[in-house]
Amino acid sequence: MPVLATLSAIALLRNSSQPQPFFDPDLLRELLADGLSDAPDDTLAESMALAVDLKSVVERYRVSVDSGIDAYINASQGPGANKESLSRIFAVVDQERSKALNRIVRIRQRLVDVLDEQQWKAVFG
Amino acid sequence: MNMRVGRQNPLNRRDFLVMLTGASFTLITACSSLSRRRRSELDEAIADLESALKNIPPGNNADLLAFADSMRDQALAMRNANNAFAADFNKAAVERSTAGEELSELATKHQQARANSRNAFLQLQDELHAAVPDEYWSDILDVLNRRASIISPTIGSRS
Repeated sequence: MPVLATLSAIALLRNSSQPQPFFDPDLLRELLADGLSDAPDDTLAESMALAVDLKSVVERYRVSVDSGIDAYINASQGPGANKESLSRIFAVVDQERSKALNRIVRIRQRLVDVLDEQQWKAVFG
Repeated sequence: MNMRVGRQNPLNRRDFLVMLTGASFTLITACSSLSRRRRSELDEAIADLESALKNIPPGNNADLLAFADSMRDQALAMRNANNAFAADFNKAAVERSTAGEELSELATKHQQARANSRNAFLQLQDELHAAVPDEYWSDILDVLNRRASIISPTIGSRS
């Protein structure tokens, strides 16, 4: 029964995945290109520049996660690994995650400033 | 709840290794990333864990199985919470009227809950590590590194 419950939970998660443009720079770029096809060139250019900034933020976070995984695995390679030592590793990843989310919020705010209501609706529906 | 177990070890060797490494990687993937690759890793780790649980005779090593069950459930709960946060954050973010402060509050609230869940999870893992007999440790490292090489190119190049 636990196996069935787990598989059901995984299936539900997969089916419930929704577009996440502010965590997915490539998706954001596609939405901007589609929604701003009639917008002035400078609006499109400014928006695309923000999508590039978002990509940089997301990539940087991914690098920090990869480093965290390496550190976790290294730290786990001995019976001395414990909650405190492993928590310290995740605290570093948490800091990077927090910075990344703050940067995403700022990028999104700049996009609010660049796009008027109609343009925003054309991009995000 | 104190689930620390003694040094007696009637567990099947392979199942024990799979259970421990599965639990470890469940933690890593649940905590770190929402990428498709890592979601797949989490599914594989959980599948390993489920497989090990199924193969261990009922009534044998109940404490270790309780560890593994708790870790699996908590990892899944963490992933659910992470997915829910990502969905909520993006749903709010695509609403033009949402203030930046609201998004920041959402992130902060989730970050705290996430850290609390992870600490509870690490405590379980701590107790599981303490229960690992010394003679199993080198084998555990072998399995850990083999799985690590799948998700971490750096680790893979070292092994």
